[in-house]
Amino acid sequence: MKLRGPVILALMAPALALMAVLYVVPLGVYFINSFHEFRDGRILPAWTLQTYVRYFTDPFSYRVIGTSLRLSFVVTALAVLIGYPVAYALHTRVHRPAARAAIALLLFSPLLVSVVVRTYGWLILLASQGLVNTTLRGLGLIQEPISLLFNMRGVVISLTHILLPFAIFPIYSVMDRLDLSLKEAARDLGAGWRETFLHVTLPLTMPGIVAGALICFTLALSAFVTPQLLGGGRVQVLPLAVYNSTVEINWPGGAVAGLTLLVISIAAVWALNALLRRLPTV
Amino acid sequence: MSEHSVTRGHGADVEVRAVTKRFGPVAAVDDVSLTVRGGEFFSLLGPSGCGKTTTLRVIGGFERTDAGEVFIDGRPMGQTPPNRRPTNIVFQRLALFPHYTVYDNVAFGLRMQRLPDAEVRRRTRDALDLVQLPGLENRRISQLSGGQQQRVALARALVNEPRVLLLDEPLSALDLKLRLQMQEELKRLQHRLGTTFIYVTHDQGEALAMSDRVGVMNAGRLLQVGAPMEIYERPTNRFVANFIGDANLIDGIAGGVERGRVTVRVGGGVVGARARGDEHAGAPVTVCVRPERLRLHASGGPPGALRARIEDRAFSGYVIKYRLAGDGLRLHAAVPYVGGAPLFEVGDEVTVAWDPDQAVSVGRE
Amino acid sequence: MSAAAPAELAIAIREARAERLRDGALRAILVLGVTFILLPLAIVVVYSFSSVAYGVFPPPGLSLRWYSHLFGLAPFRGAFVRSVVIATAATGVALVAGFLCALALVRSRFPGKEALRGFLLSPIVIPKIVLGVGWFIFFARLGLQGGVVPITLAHIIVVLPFVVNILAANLVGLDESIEEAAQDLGASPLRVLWHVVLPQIRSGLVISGLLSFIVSFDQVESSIFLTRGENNTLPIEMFLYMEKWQDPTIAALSALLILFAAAVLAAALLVSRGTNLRRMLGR
Repeated sequence: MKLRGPVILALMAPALALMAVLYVVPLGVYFINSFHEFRDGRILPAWTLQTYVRYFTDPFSYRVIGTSLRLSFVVTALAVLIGYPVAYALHTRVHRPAARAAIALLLFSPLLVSVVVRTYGWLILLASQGLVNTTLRGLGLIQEPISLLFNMRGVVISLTHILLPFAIFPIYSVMDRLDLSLKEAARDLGAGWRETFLHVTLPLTMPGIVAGALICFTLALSAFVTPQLLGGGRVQVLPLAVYNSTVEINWPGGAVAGLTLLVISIAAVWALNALLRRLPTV
Repeated sequence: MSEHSVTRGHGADVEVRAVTKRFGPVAAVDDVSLTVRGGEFFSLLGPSGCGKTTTLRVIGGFERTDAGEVFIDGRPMGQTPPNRRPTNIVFQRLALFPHYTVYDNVAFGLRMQRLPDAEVRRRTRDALDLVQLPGLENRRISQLSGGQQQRVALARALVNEPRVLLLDEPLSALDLKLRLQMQEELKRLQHRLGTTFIYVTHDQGEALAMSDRVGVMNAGRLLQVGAPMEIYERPTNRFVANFIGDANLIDGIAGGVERGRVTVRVGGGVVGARARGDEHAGAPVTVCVRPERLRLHASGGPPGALRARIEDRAFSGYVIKYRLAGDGLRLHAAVPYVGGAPLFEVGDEVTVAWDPDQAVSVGRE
Repeated sequence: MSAAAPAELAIAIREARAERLRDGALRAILVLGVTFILLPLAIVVVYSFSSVAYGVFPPPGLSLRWYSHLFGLAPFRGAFVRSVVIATAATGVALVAGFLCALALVRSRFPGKEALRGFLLSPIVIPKIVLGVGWFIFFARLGLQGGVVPITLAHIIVVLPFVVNILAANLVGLDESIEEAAQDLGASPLRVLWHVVLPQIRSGLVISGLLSFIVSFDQVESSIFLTRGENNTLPIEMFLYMEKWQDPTIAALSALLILFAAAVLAAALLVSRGTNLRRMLGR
């Protein structure tokens, strides 16, 4: 069915109206607030760049940005480093379609459950007398319980778990599309397992890695529930800064922090997308 | 062209001994034994799903066998992986590395052997010359035409100087003209290098034109091995007779067997054919006779000749094709068209005969 | 050649051993990966039956006290109903608007189409907390506060990109000549849409609807400023409860939610007859 101009417009109208009223306008209002100033417990109506100046001259802002970036890098790296072998194992060791689908569903299943529930699970697991500490002590790896809650460690572990499916699936889907005879060709030409992996499998699955990293990094950057519940106030990241400013009615401060978060997110998406375009497609 | 470092080696003997390979309950290769002589151009021919590609993959080390063994130059291959066999393969879908240039694709095998850079460079260049692709070293695979990709795949395999080159329907993606050109080129290369070629195809014309010997497979079994002409002239069973060229398959009852000839009662006539050896009087047999070997007579003919009526006639250049029916038989005849000679018309009654040496008994299975 | 045989044999044995090792390692990785993924959910279920309030492994005893405590807490019940209502409404609106929009995107060509598509998908990459604050200010200025309406409106924007993306991908794959055949046989455009187009993208509708429901049901930071206690959604009610208390009441609720998710998934698998979801997950 070919569509004509007025029909196209009519079909798009509901979505575009929703986007205009509920997306463009709120973001605009939000953005405008960054040009106001919060002083003495209230927002001054005058137009000013003072909030930006104050934000970017405050060393605390950079600490928060630094923490955000560090957390996102570490969690993304961990999710890819764990996710790649899991995807590879699923791809190379499980051949029955039904078994593949079942395992894929298990790996995907946490996404069906609220992030609050998953974070709560880690709260139990990482407690000083929780399963992780008990097991580590049982194995004789540690003598005293290590502190895994209300610090960076707990946030990293929990966030890695939350993002892992987002790393596994893009990687797995690229592996699945990879022509098996490419690996066989490498073997035929004298490459052992290691060379085949390094020269063929890894470079050709790089698009999956980058795509997974892109999703993980942006989600880690904007993660809120996990740092709030497991960070114990010690993991000050940008979304928490935005939240706290807003709670204190400091909308302009929150707006500037939020815009910073937004700019970093967009920059990361742009950079990884540019990388993705330069990789060969399978 | 000057002297190449891709030298004329001697190709290895390959022996497949009683190999069976199952996928689930299905035997893709069913007790196949086969000997390919060093330096031979050997084709495995059969319809899709007949087990020819699996046989090739067994030789290359890509499939583990359920029974049997592959020997290359008399050495058992056991579970030796592909990277440690003196074979190289050209895949049906070529499997060129999309993230490498032409040069890096061809150099891959040499680099895996950790040869010095200078040697890698020299042999890679020579291999590209050999397949007539100089000057494209830095192209990406996606920038090449189908024929060029074909040549890169060939160069990538040949540069390693394999003792045996395995080719899995490498020309199937090319159009007819290019395919014929590549056929000639492959034959030329094989002759020049002396490498053993094992070539898998479902195209009987391709197999007959290129090969020293052909093995015909169906349903996992190797049915017959022989030189192209031998297989055409003396098919040993119905499937081979039907698959290679056109054939009239005539069912009858064996009469006497004498001096390598069998007489066969068919409807109202008695015909002769070369015996396969297992015929005995009174047993059902099938006679295979090629359409161009039938002789049609307006009247008379030898005693016992079959009678038939012309059902249809088609002109196709250098032959006239007749469709005939009679004595409960349907036959095809191809008569050379020389111009001027009188033709039969649809509805004419004719007698059909052939020289018993030009027909062969193929059993009943 | 025979002299080289022992060396060859040694290499073959070494390679076989390496392959066995690799095989074992990869199987172990798969088991560990699945364990890691499922562990937090499993532990939540275990702890919902704990007899004590504090986190100690293994729990000293079993009881159902947290379930009875949970059922005594009215706010959770209200929040659950509210979340289901919001997720259903947001999904419904997003499916209708998203389907029409995807159809127009797929069946048209105009300059700037890719930019428009990028705009429609952009809410996915905007940090939810930014959107949350934006909606907070926006609805405050409008004087539209409390109740489920502002939250539902916000969630429509959150889930719309998923719907547009999935349905557009489904529509691209359709053979247009089937629709032309239907029109040729006398069907009006609306009937073609209803009888020909929609049935063909049924699995896409199920998947995008399911995803929308889950995403909406899981919103915290986009909605936290739109709730004021009386209209908390379930994840926000849990989040706020967890900021104060950390007893297994939350575990009991979580266990029920896991059960709920499994039921929703099973229903979706049944509705789509499993085909497309299976294909998506395990090829």
